[in-house]
Amino acid sequence: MKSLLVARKSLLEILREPALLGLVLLMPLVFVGIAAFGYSAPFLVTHPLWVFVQAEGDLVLIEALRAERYPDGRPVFDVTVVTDLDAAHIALEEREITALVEVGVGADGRPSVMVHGDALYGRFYRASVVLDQVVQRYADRLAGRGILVQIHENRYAPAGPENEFDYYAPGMMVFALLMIIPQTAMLVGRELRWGTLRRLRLSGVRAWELLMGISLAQMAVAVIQVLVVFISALALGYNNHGSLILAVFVGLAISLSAVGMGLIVTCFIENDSQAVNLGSTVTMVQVFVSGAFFPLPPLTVFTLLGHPIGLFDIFPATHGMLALQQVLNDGAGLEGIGFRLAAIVLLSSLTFAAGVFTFHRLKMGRGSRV
Amino acid sequence: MGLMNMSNVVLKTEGLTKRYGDLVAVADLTLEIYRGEVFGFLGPNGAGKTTSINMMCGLLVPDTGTVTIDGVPIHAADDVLRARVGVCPQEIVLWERLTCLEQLQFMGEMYSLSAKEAHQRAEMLLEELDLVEKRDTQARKLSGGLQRRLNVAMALVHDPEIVILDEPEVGLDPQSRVKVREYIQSLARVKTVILTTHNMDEADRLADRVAIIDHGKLLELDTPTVLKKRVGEGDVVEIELETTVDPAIAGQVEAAVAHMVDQVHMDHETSTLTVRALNAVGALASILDALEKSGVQAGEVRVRENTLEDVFIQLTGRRLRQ
Repeated sequence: MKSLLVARKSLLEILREPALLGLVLLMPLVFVGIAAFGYSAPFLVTHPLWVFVQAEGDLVLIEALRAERYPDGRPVFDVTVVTDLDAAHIALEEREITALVEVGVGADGRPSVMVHGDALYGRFYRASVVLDQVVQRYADRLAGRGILVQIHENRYAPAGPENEFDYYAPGMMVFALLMIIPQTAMLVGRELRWGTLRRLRLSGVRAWELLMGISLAQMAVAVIQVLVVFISALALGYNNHGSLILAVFVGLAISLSAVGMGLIVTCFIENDSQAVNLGSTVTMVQVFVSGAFFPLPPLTVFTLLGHPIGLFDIFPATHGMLALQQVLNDGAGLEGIGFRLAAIVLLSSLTFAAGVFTFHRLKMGRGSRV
Repeated sequence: MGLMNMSNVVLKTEGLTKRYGDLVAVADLTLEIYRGEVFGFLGPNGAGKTTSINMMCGLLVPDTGTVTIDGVPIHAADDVLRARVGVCPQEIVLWERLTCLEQLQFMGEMYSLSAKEAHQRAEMLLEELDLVEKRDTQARKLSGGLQRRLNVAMALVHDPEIVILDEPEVGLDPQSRVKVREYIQSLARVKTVILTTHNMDEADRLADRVAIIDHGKLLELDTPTVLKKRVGEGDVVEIELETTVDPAIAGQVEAAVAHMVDQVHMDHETSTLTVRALNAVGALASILDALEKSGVQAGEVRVRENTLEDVFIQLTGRRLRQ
C-alpha cells in the first residue's frame, strides 16, 4: 500500500517536471522524428535508370528492363532513354539516377552492354543485382542458349521492416526506456538531497516499499513511453506488424533494469546535472551496444539453446532491442520471443537487485545520515 | 509542571554517544523527557542538538546508549510506536512539485492514516497554520516563511504524541515567527514538544525545561527560571564605555564597582561593563560615579533581566553565536 502511495507521488512529480518529462519523452520523440525524416525511404524502390542507345543498339534490353517487377508488382526501374551521354554521366554523378546503361555494338559487331554506377552509392548495389540478372538473360538469349542463371526472390518472413525507419523505430523505444536511468537518478537523488527520503523513512516505510514505489512509477512511465513512441512512429509512417501489448511487456521488463541502473547512478551523483550526465552516459553506451541506433556486427561468444549469444548480450537492452524488432517488425508472438524475453527478465532482475543492494547499502544503511 | 514525575517519563536517553571519525557529536547524553512538557535543547550551531534528536527519533543509530519511548527501545519500535513521534527538521524538507494539501495528505497516509483521515488532518493543519489559501499551491511557489510553516505542519499531520522541532524559527519572517511560536505554545500540554534552538529567547519563552548542550555534552538541565537564578539574582546592567579602557584602569573600575554589586565583568572586546545585582538600578548612580572618578566615560546604559545566554556564557565562557 505504501509502495502505491510512493508511486503515485513520484508519478505526480515526473508529470509536473518539464526536465524529467523532457528526458523520457521529448528526447526520444526528437530521435523518432530524425529517424523518420532520414530513413523512411523503402528498401524496394523504383530506381531511376537512364539508357543510352547507340545507333545500332538493340532495343530489346530496354523492354526487358521496363518489364522487371518486384513481387508486389511495382516496377524495379523507371527507364528513360536518353541521347546525351555526357548529361547522363552528370546525372549519375549527382545521384539523380541509380545507374546508366549504355547499349551499343562492339568492335566485333556483336551487341555490347555497359552498366555505369557510383561505387559508393548503396542504391546502385541493390539495383545492380537486378540489372545483372536482366542483362545476363539478354546475353543468354542473344547467344541462343537457355537461361543459365535465374534468381528467385521470395519473402520468407510473413512481415519485416520495409524501410530503415521500420528497423530503427523499436530502437527508439529502447532509447526512451533507457532514459529512465538518468530520470531515476534525478528523482531519487533529489529525495536524498532534499531530505525527503529521511522524512519518508521516519514514517516507518521499509526500504523495499520505497524502492518498489519508485519502480512502479518508472514502470508506469515506461508504458507511457512505449505508447507515445509507438503512436508517433506510426504517425510518421512506421509499418507495424506486431502486438503492441507484447511490446509493452518487453518495455516493462527493460524498465526494471533501467531503474536498477538509475539507483546505482544515484549513489555517485551530487546534483541534477551529474544525474543527467552520468545517467545519460550509461544510457548511451547501452543504446549503442544494443544496436538501437545502428546494427552492430555479430560478436558471438557462444550459442545457447540455438541462440547465438553476443558479447553485448550481458545488457538486457540488447535482448530488448531484438525482442522489440521481432515483435513489431516481424510480428513475432510470445513464443517467438520467449528466449529473449526470458533473458531480459533474468538480466533485468539481476540489474535491479544490484541497484537495490547498492543503494540500500550506500544510502539507506544503518548509521547513514539519510 | 505537576506532570513531571518519574511515572510520566515519555522519552529517555541513556549514555547516548555518536562519533563521526574523531569528532564526538554527542557524548554520553542521558536525560528524561516528561509527557506534556516543552523540552528545549539550547546550544550553538554544531553543539550536537540535531544529532541528538536524530537518534531520539530513530533516524540515526547511536554508537552506544539507548533511546526508549515509554520503555521501548526506539530501534525495536514498530510503526505504531514510531508514529507517536513527529519530526520537523531544521531544513525545509518538502517535495517541490506537490501542493501543500498533497504533501500533507501523502505523509498522513504514509503514517497509515486512511485517505479520509489524512485529508481531514491536512485541512485542519492548513487552517491552523494559516496556509488555507495556499492549499493547492506547489511548495516551490511558496515563500520561505510559508514553506517553514508547512514544514512544521508535516511533522504533525499524523497527530503524534511527541513532536520534535529542530530550530523551528530559523529563517522565519516576523509574521511566520509569531505564528509558529503561537502554534508551538498551543501544542504545549497537549503534546510533548522537544525543541532545539540556538535562540535563547525562543528557549526561554517556550520551554518548560532547557538542556544546555555544547560540544556534544549536556552542561545543564533545568527550568529556565532556575538556570537563570544560578547565574545570579536580580537585574543585569550593561554600560557601554565610550573609549577603549586600559586594562589597568579596567581593573581599578572592576574593583571599585565590585563591592556595590554581586557580579561585575568588563568585556574588553566590546568595551562593555556588565554588572549584576538584586537592585542594580538602585546602584547605577554609584557605579557611574565610580566610572567618572576613574576617568572612564560611560555611553549607553541598558538594564535587562538575566537570560539563558548569560547561563551559557557562564558555563562555556562563550556566547551562543560565537
